[in-house]
Amino acid sequence: MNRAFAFTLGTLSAIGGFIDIGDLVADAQVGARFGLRLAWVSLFTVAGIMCFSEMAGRVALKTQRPALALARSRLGPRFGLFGLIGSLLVTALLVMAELAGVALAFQLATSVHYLLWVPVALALVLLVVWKLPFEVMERVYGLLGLAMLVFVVAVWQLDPDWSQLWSSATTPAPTGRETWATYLFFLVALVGAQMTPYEMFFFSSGAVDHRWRPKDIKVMRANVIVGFPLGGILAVAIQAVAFLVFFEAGVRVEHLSQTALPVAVALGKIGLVVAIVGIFAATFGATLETLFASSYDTAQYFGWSYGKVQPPARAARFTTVMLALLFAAAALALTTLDPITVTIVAVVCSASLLPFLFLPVLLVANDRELMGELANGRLSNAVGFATVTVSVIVAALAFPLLILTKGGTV
Amino acid sequence: MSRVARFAGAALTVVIAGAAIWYVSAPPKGSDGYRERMADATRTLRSQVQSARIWAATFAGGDATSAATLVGFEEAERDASSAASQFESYEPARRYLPLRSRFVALAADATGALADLRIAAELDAWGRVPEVAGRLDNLAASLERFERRARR
Amino acid sequence: MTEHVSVRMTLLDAQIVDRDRLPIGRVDDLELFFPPDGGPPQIARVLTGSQALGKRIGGVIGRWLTSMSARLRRPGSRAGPSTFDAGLIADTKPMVRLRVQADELEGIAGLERWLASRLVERLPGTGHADK
Repeated sequence: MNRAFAFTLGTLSAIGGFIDIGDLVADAQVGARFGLRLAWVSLFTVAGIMCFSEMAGRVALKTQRPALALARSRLGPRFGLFGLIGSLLVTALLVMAELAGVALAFQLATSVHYLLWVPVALALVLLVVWKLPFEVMERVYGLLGLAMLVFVVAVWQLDPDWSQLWSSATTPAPTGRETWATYLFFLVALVGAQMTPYEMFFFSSGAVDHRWRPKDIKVMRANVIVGFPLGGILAVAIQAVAFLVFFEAGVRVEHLSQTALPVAVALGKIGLVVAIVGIFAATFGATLETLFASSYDTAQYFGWSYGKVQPPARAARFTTVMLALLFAAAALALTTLDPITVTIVAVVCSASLLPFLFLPVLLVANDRELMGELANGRLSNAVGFATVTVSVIVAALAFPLLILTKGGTV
Repeated sequence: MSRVARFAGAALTVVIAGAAIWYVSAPPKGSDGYRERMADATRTLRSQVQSARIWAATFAGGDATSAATLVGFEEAERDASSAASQFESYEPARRYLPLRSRFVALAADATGALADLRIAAELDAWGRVPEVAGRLDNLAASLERFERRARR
Repeated sequence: MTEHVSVRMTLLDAQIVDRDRLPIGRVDDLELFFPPDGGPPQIARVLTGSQALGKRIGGVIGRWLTSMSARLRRPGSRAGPSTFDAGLIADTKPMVRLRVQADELEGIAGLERWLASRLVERLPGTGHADK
């Protein structure tokens, strides 16, 4: 494949992977309630996910296998099983939320209730999983995901007082009407929403499927360096527009429609339509990514054949796990559980799993016998170690804060 | 020993989970708790009223599609009524009865205005939307004042 | 061989692929053979599948894995965990590669075959879903 083309694709998938239902909800909520006072969290999450995606990508280049597949030989079967069961449970919640997000995007476009759109979203996911090759899939939703850039344009169009934005962004404390507990809770939620481990696994599995080799390391790194920061900018832009439109009025974001509203205020009908397309692309792409990442994880833990690489009949167990997850998630979506509440719970659970998924990658990438000259250098280890440390603290705080703040509703 | 420890661990988990669920869903405790919930419910009402107001203004300026605006109205109305009815089901201390009836009146105004908006949108009577939305400004201001009073 | 080799690091939990590099499973456990003359133990059979894995993991989850997996095995196959002869191993680096094709192994990856024939191949579009 043409290098420049491969670069564009990888970057798009990094942006697309960064923004999903968790960001659309959590970033808008945070912006409306805290302004940009939590925007600094994105600096940390972007650095962390860049570091680990680069590590996972490097492992994939060197060994042609995703990092988690190698972790079991290093950490033994128990540690891996714990992370696997946890991430399968979280994924079921996340896929439910993403599917509901696709349905909510349809609702916004048509005003037909989202529950009626859930089966349509399910059918669409099945069709794409079954019929489209990996690359086409990545390309289409990556391009559609560019529509999310409308949030960045909207920030300018709202003609903000830049010094006010800056002073908000440089005040790492809750506003007068909020407590430290909710501030910290939304910090955890942002970490969970922005540092989703499936980004890392999808990135490395993509590298395996594209049959990248060590000579492709520059392309891989360029993707990481361009893609994830762009995703971070999008996340901050969602916070900024919610801040500018909702903060003064005292609106708390509780629906996906409210994530899109500031874009309509800024850019009118066309902006709104573009934002709805972007929301559709982001949630639809994330449905596929979460689904694939968990099925990959399961297959690799047990050593099954997997992937878009093998035809479904040659990867029957993989295909079955994926279908089971998808149908379980769709069933969950149809129970009328509020998708926004589920999203917040899912991102908090996801934050609490981060150490279990980061640590194995860090260990494998440090294995000189396996990685040779591509083993971790000092920079990767410093950032990686710092990220793991912070993620351990975040994981420990996640559930107490979820209960204490009643999911941020206090 | 390990069996006992395991049992104790399981029992502790159940107790903590039960306590957490109770904490999240329990009715307010004491008169302070009641006031606080009243203030929170008022804040939710104001948030929904303002959200609907922004949707209406954006639509009136030709900047939002009717489909999305209708969705915005529906959600505001649904959330406002569920917040109001949940709070109204709590049992107040006798001395809060006057404050409570003021809340009930405000909540009825708010959910009524939001329902009018939604119905106008559903009937495609978009011409009536600005008129109904005009009530929302005052409502939001009264709700803000009332929240401050309840939170005092 | 006098050099010290840790089976735990080099063999246990390694990925198993067949002659055509199709993934089959993992080295979930090993069955050792102790020569009567007191020589060093040798690997007799490789255990693969969740039944063997569950025993290694232990605890509630391990027991559940073992019993689930034992129940899922097709009737007629032996009750113990599925194994194959260590002599079938062609190579162990970077993963365990066998001399034979997956389909030639009796009783290995039974769930894969069962799911393939009963579920996945019956779904529409399976035959030409991918290249």
